[in-house]
Amino acid sequence: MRRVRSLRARLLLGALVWVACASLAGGYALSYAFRTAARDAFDAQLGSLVAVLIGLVDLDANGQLRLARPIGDPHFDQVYSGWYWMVIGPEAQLRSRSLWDLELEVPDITTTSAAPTISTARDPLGRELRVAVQRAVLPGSSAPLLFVVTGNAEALHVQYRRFDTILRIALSALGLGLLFAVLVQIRFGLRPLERLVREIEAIRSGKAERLSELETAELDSLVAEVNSLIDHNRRVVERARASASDLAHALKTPLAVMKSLEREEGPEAARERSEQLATMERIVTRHLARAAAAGPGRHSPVAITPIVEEIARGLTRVHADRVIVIQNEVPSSVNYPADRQDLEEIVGNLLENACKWAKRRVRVSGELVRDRLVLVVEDDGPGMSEERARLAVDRGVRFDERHPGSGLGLAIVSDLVHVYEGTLTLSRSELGGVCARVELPPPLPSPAKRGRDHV
Amino acid sequence: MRVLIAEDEVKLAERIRTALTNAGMTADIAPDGVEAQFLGETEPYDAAVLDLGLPKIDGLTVLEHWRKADRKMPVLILTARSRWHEKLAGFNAGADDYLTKPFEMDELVVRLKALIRRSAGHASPILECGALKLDTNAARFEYDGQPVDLTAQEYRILAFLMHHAGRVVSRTELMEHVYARDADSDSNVLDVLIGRIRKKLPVPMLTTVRGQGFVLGRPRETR
Repeated sequence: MRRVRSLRARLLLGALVWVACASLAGGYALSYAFRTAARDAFDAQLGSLVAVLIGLVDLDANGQLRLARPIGDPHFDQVYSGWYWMVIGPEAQLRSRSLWDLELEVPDITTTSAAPTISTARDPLGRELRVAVQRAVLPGSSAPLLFVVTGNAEALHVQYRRFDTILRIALSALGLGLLFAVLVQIRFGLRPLERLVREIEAIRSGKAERLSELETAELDSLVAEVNSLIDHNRRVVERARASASDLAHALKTPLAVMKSLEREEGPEAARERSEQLATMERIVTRHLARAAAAGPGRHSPVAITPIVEEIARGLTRVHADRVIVIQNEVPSSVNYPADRQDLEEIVGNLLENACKWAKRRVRVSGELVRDRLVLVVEDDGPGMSEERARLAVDRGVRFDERHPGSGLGLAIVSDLVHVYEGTLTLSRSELGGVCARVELPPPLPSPAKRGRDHV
Repeated sequence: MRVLIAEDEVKLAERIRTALTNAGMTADIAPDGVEAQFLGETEPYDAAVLDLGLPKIDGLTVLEHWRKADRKMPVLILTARSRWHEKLAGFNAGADDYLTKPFEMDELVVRLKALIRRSAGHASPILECGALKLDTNAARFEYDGQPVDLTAQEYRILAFLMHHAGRVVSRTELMEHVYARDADSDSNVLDVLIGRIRKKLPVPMLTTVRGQGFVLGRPRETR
């Protein structure tokens, strides 16, 4: 079956199915109830006619059956009307005029009872009859007589049909009315959604900044989510834009120097050119790292220990001939909701830098202090002066030519930590080398919660 | 020492090859993943330089295939993406070192030499066999403090024997590790070169094991 695409069609289809089922079931029940009631009334009428008949019949002076006076109902005088009566004695019988020459097969009743027995039969003309039969003994006679009154069931069927017609019309009207009501209800119910669509269109066309609160319980969290998504996207775009223009500006200086050296020759110019190239490379690498950062947002918690383990494994392999021991002292319970790749980048660059300088030992420790992530990487290398530390964290100044790319890693970490609104501080470690301490602030509360706080 | 360069950028690949040749190694170039996987699985390389952004089959997959086929040569991955995520993926696939583009050619050569040395079981960059010393970084032989003057081809042969000093290296193995794939290798030339090296060494430490190959220094028990 094809899936129904429209929300409105879904709701309407649902209502249609349910209204149709309810109407059909209700119709059948009502029709059945009416039939039962109508037939009972008909049967009661036949029963009372039998009683009347019993009252009218007596024996004359010769002991013959006779009707004291006519039964009164004109149906019984109308030939083949289907309304017949008979009184059947052992020798003789009385019959209604309407019966004329017909022979009715009468159900044989052998017991006398206070009420007539009622059944369905057909007369020889094929008409359906309701038959009431009662056995009674007349005063002054010893033989029991059989009193029979029949009614034309056609009358019942006419009633049934008339009722069914009315029922059908009424139920159809009711069903249509219900569907119409459902339509109105859907329209009314979905109005916030339509508004939402209009608002999103407004945002896309730049007429609005974010979604306004709809004050619809079911949609509030959606609105909050969309708003947080919009905010996140805006931040990303702003960062990207700033980053692109930063990059362009940063590249202009070395480019200008290169341009001025264009026609110059000699070792001095060559050295200057390669220095400018190195500067450009650093600029590009840093900007790439910043551009690739996912940044804060709604992330699921990431365990820190496995990241440290994985990176330590890789670095141990790279520095295989220097036998550096990387101690991972981060408890396995420490996790922080950030982009996993960003965390890998922070831990990776810190560890890489530490391994580059370490003599034998690198120590990683970490903890959560009131939801703040504190991550410390230390080495037993020569350490760095305060001035160097400041430069490393600040603008990634190239302060050592012998280790290619050194300082860049710390600058990248500094940038990333900044994106998360955290801090990177460098100090002297008790191991002798550098102690790099990263602190990331507690994660943002979920936007749904914030959304509700606004209201 | 024979190195596979899997890099699709023709200019860069050629420059790497030149740098490696200058450092006394031979190199084959695979311009795409299919070729790289095939060469890496069929030829006996001492190391590989693997670009992660190879066409047809990406570098990581190639590396995984090599390791699955039990090729254990050290692999240095090159990547234009400097994120740690990429490096970790490389390590997990079985890489031994990484360099991000752009890189200094000297850095690549130093790292590659270190990888080759380590994979032959030497921790120090200076290899010694008796009084014969090889400074792998400088690509220079010394005997008793006196430099041994070798041609490029002679250096390649002796360097390979030096990395596997004490082990009998078969003629085929030596040829495979000293000549590039498309080189016109002649067994007689090898004998001539071996003869010349012998003359340049003050003591007869390079011996021929009949029917097996060559051995530098005193033969030791095979591992």
